[in-house]
Amino acid sequence: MDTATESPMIAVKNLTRRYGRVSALDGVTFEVGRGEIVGLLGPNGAGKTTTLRILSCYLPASGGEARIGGADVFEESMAVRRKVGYLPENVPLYTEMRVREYLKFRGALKGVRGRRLRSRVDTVIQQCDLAGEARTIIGRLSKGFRQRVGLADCLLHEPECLILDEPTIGLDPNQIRHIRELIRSLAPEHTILISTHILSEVEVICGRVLILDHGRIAASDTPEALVGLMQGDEHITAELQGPADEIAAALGALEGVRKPVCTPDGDWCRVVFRGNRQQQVRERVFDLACTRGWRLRELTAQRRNLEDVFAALTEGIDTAEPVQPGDCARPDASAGGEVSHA
Amino acid sequence: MRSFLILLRRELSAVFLSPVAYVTMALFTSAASWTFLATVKAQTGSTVYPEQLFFVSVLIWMPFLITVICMRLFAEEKRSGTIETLMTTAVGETAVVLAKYAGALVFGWVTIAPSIGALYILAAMSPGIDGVDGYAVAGGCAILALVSICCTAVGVLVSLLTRNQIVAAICCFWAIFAPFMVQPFMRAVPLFRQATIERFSLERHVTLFVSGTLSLQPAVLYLSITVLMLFSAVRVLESRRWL
Repeated sequence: MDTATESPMIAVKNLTRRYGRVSALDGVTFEVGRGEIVGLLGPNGAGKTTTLRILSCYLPASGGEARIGGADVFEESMAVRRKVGYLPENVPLYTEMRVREYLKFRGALKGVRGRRLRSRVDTVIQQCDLAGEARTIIGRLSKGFRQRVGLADCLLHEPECLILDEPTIGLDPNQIRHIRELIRSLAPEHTILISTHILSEVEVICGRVLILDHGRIAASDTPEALVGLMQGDEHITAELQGPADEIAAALGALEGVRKPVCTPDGDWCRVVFRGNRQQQVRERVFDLACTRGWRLRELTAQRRNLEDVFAALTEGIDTAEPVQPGDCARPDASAGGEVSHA
Repeated sequence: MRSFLILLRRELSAVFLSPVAYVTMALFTSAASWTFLATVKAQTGSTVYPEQLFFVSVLIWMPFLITVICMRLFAEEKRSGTIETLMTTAVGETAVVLAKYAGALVFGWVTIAPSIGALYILAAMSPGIDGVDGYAVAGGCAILALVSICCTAVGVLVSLLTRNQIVAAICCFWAIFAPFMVQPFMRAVPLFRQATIERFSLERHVTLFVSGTLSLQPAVLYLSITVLMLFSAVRVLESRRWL
């Protein structure tokens, strides 16, 4: 059996990195399987870039072990560098060179020679949609095109593993979509570890998510599974026509309803509360409105996403918590105050 | 070796495609030629060889030239972040340091070369000068080559120690200028014997080489410093992977 194809592409065990007395990484352990796209999330200073720099052999670790394709990043640095295509944050490029010239230089440096070099340069130029800019001086390119040049550079030597540090930072929505599609198209042949702040991007591209916080892995799972962790309670908004105090009292007495906050709006009353999905709270609210003869014009549960999971894990904030009076802009004075039933 | 050649080619194209290179060449040639002509005028009637005056004039401007060439070498790569893409490619630190060094050295020599024309132009225009001694010029070129090899290696090391080009320029200038002050310093301090002073005197080395005496001692001195500086530069670049 071929052990090289069986083992994970990236294996990190107890990785530690200290800058003086500050610990940037503290015993980080994770694995990335071959062909997987894994998103590395975390707030600023969580240790994402440090992790990627260690894996790309730019920085040493203070402790622990990291392997890419079975090669140790500390002991077999050259072998690892051949297996990895690394796109650093802010995509540093030689701005005085032309795109094709730069890619030829980088390809040659990565050991791609002769006809293969020409063919690879043509291929990555097509892949990254750079044909129209191949003769342009890099310094004159927009941020989006520079990002593509950086990505093309990563792909030149057909690495098994791509390490991308915030590849869509500073791009406009169209450029983000293009880069995202490109990354997705690379997945079957490459293992991709991508660091980003754009959570929606991770939900779309990545098969698995690693959330780093204060140098530790706070969570590791598929985006769906992580979102599923937070599905016990939902954040429900209802708009009912009736007296605010009666509505608040009735909702507060309903089983499964927690922290209702009523904001009167003329004849109507907007109620925001937390409800347990298992207890079919929305159905109960609907039945209550029917019984009391209150007209109902909205009854919605907010869909939880990765952003909620991220906030909960890294800040301890539950974004499903109803907004309390004073947390945001005050309602119109003519509409009256809020009535809450905890 | 292949990586070295690829990097060297990029270094040379980056230097020679920049207008700064040609401005540097023009300024250096003008400054060295003007200094030479001024010294010749000042020394009219003396028995000093014009070849010696010429090579001293070029050497005076050497710290400025090497500083301008070396200040950007690694400092610029660090500032722009390209050092990260470079050092995460399968290229050894030795190849990177040697390619930067060789690129800087070639540019330095190409900048100095036109100045030698000033010597021949002066000889052709002045009836008082019989001609230029080819052997003296060869000896002068040899000492210029040795000093530039050594100073460029110092410049490469200094450039590696900072990401700020201004800091690199100041440190580089003083590191290269210091050897020019060795002789006056040793003379001022009565601890050193005359023989020791002469062994480290740049002025004495120039006189020796221009007079046709190709001494091994200065060659060994400058080449030893060069090797030490380049070895240190490789270690400094590697230190990123241990610290």
